[in-house]
Amino acid sequence: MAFLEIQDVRKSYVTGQGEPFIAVDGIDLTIEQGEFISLVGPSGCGKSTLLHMIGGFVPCTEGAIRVDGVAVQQPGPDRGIVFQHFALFPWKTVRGNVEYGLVERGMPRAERRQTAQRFIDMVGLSGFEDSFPSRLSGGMQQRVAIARMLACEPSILLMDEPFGALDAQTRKIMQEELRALWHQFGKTVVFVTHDVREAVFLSQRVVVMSTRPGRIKAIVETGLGPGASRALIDEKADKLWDMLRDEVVRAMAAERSKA
Amino acid sequence: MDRAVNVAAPGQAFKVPPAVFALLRTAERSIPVLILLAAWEAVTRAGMVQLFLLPPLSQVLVRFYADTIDGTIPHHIIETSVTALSGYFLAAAAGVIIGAAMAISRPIRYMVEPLVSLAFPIPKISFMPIFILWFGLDTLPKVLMVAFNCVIPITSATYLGARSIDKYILWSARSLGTQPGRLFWKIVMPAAAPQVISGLQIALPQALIIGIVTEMLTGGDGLGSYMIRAVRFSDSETAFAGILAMLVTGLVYMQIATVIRRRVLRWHAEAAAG
Repeated sequence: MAFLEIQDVRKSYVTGQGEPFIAVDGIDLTIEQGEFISLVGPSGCGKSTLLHMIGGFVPCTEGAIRVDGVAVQQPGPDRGIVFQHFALFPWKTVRGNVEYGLVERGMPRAERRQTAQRFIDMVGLSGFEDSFPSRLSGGMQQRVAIARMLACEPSILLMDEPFGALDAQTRKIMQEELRALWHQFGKTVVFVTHDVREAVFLSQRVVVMSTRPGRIKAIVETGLGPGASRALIDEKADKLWDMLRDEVVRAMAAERSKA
Repeated sequence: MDRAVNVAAPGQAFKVPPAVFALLRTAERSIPVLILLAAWEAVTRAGMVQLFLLPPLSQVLVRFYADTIDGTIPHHIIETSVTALSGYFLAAAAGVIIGAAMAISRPIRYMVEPLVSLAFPIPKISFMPIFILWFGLDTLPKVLMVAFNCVIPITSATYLGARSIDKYILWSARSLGTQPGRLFWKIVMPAAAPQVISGLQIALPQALIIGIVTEMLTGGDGLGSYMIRAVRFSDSETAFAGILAMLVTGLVYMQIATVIRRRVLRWHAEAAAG
């Protein structure tokens, strides 16, 4: 039995104009423990919706999602998540944010401090424990969100375009650090992005999605080890982009005809 | 030659301690006020107006000083403050509770939202005759009038703040183990704090205004009746002294509110900028 099973999942809803809308349809996907998998696709292909269903924030209309054999009903600390715009608690300090999940779990104060400090150090924010998020750069805020997620020791990390709001240089650094973290911990990661190079660089498998309705178009094994050369990554990314390009063009055309 | 030296070392040329700088800025911003006050004094001294209608500033200050020293003005300021602040805190408690309840509960929202929208634009003070009818001429109708006026902006600010919370912040809290029933107090209300405090800040000067107006209408003590009584006795100096007293009271209140806001919203981006 696979660790994370997504079985024939469909999500549809009625839009504000009263028309039925199918966000994703017929999604079948199994993910092994410790795997790093990315979902790529044009905007509106439902990749974030799928991630939110795994997180339990949004119910599936049909089908089932199971983690370790147990159906996902609601959000929980076994599945950590980070969002594109960080979603930190702005009224809490860096330490307060990272400790939040530990407080909810009822961990004693001293142990909580220690645990939070470990993760703050891990993401390179030592010295900023008492800063409020509004004083930090985007990259630092996303580090706080990652530390906050990791502190709860989730078995699956869900990442919803986590580096999409960062500048190009920060994004590169964060990608490298995330890859190093993953090699260190070997946690299961489901990573949503629209950047194919990012997907290839980070993951073992890349799921390419088509749009309207969002379906799985292809699943590509990157087959890249940690020491893969830049040229090899670029080559894989180009191939993947060729596959995705048609979808993006189609999605844009559909968007235009709707407007 | 001096200019050349300044250009050569711009960093060292103007090193002013921040406290002195703030003082200079306040002084600079006071110039228009000082001009107005000087004009007031000049116009009255030159005999361009009837002194009964506009007494010279210097005489108003003398009266203000005398009435402050003998305890009259402080007494009225305290009287007005008790009325205004009682009503204000009543409104703050009620407004935050009602606003929060509207954000949580659909039936309450359904019942209360149209009433708040309806009450928002009307001058609440127009209810004062009714309040006098119901509650008499003592302190009670004044306090309730202040509360009635102030509860509307506080309710609506709390409601809008609690409703405008970012979905992803709620989701984050859920995925970190917070159960749905606890989200409101753990996440929604702290996140809404800036708007709630804005509502409280908007309502504060209104509390003073309404407090003073009700005193003018019902008598008793307080700055409002202090002024009205002076006018009845054709004592315009005292009436203007009352305006000065209100000005001082209002400024002190707003300053306190600003300090509290900075303390409470230490985390907010606006505090980081300031």
